[in-house]
Amino acid sequence: MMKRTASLFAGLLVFLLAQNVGAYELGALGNVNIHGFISQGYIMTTDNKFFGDTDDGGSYQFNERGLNFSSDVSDRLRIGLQVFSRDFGTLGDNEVTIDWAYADYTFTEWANFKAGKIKLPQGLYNTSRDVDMLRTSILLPQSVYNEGWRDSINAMNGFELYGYVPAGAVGSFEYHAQGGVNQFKDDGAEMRLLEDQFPVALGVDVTNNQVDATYVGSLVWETPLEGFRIGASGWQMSFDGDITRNPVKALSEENPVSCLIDVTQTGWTTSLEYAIGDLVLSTEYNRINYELSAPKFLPMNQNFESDFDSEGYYGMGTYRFCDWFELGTYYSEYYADRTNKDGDDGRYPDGQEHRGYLKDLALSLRFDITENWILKVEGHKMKGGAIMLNSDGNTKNYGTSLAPNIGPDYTKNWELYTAKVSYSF
Amino acid sequence: MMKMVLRGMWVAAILCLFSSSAFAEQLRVIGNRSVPVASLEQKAIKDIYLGKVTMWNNGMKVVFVTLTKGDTQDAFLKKYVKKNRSTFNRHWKKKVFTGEGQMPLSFEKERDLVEFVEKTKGAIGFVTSGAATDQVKILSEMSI
Repeated sequence: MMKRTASLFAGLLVFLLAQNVGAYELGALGNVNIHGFISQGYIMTTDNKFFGDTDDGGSYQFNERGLNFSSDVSDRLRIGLQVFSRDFGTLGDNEVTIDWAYADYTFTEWANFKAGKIKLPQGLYNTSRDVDMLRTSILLPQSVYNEGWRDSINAMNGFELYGYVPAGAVGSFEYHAQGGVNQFKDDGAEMRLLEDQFPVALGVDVTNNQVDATYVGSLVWETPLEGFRIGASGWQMSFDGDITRNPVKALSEENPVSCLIDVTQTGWTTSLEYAIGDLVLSTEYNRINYELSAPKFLPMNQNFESDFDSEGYYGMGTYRFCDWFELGTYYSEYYADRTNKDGDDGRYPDGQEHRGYLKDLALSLRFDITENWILKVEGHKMKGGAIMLNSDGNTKNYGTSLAPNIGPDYTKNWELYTAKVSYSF
Repeated sequence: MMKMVLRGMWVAAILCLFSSSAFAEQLRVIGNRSVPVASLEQKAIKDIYLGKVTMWNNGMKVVFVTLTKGDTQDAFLKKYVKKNRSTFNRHWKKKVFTGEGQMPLSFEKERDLVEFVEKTKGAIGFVTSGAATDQVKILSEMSI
């Protein structure tokens, strides 16, 4: 069924792309706008599996497709919907989802109300992270825009109040306040990242996740200095689920094989961007606090942190040399636990301390072949093994065949190369 | 592999040096007669063309239109919106693909743009000083 839906979706996109015009209008009043994009990439790594089999000849499982419909129902009311699919190695699997769908009512410039499935305005680029042609790089800095977090902080079902407030000589402000719930799959990256917090050998599985509530806030100050903006955004999400470990690995009678786990994530990002003509400089700092509660699931002597903060930051510069060529570079650092940046607190096996961080130096080239077609190539010099998933095959047996002891296995110094072609209309 | 990426960067940067152009013309920002203001400052025009201001102060919807491409479009974007064609298009593509707005209507010919602004309540657009503008309001003029 899902494959049929995906085929139908792809077929509709191909039909629309073949028409070779900028947008479409439907309906008796001609007021339904249709836009779409499609991108196909290739990604390879010298070592480590970056959300898929990237280290074994590379992977073509790297694409996004989106198709949206929107209409101004009246001067104050707008409705819209975007269907979307992506494949990023073991993530997405080209499943067609509703990316966003809303009704948006304008009271005044500074008070607008939106209801439906809405994008989360986190940092400068979270709302546009799926749309390749909007940026210079192929991969956004993973310290702040981790591909594994995408499913949980991309969008949610709920309400939003937002607006634009001019402030005279001080510049202007844009704010967003949202409340609702987001949903993610038990076999998706969010749950697999949670499972990675426990020793691999325990075979932990988290299922039946249920999000209680998600709250989001964002404020961007456009300063009087042309092109300079400062932003702060934050979100909190609480969910629970059933956590189970391999019964063969029973630790003691006091510790249950299965119990309820409560998780609260609180994240915030500060952002600076300065656009001077064709040069854009940006930097962001992100911190996420994780509070995990699974009483007695593990004995106290197991290496398991139930309250910790991750930390990530980057600096990025892009320059557009002419209509068809743009260059970008960034340096990004991410730490899974900011109080243990070296990863040497015993949580990881000897020689795998670099699982605790990821440092990334990237260089991107973007070629605008036409206004609709874009080609990009990109290289990354990486140090560390954080962000990636154990369940993608980044493990090895530290024991024997008779007494296996599976643990994380990441190469410390590695490289990533990727290329992508995108079309939009 | 990284050397190939770097080599590509230098070749593209050098080729770009030979592909720039220059242009000079006088611009007029025009509006439908229903527009409830006599003139607009650059900042107000910028806010409209970036989709930040969507209603006139009497509650009427702002309908802003552009030219498809060309030197007039480039000059307007540079002087009033403080963007180039590429960053302006990217700004609106972001709005379109994140559900924040709809791409502005664009015209290939100034004559068609003026006709649309004449006939559409709340409409605003821009043309060069050579276009016939006697049936619309002139909200701003800038020598460039």
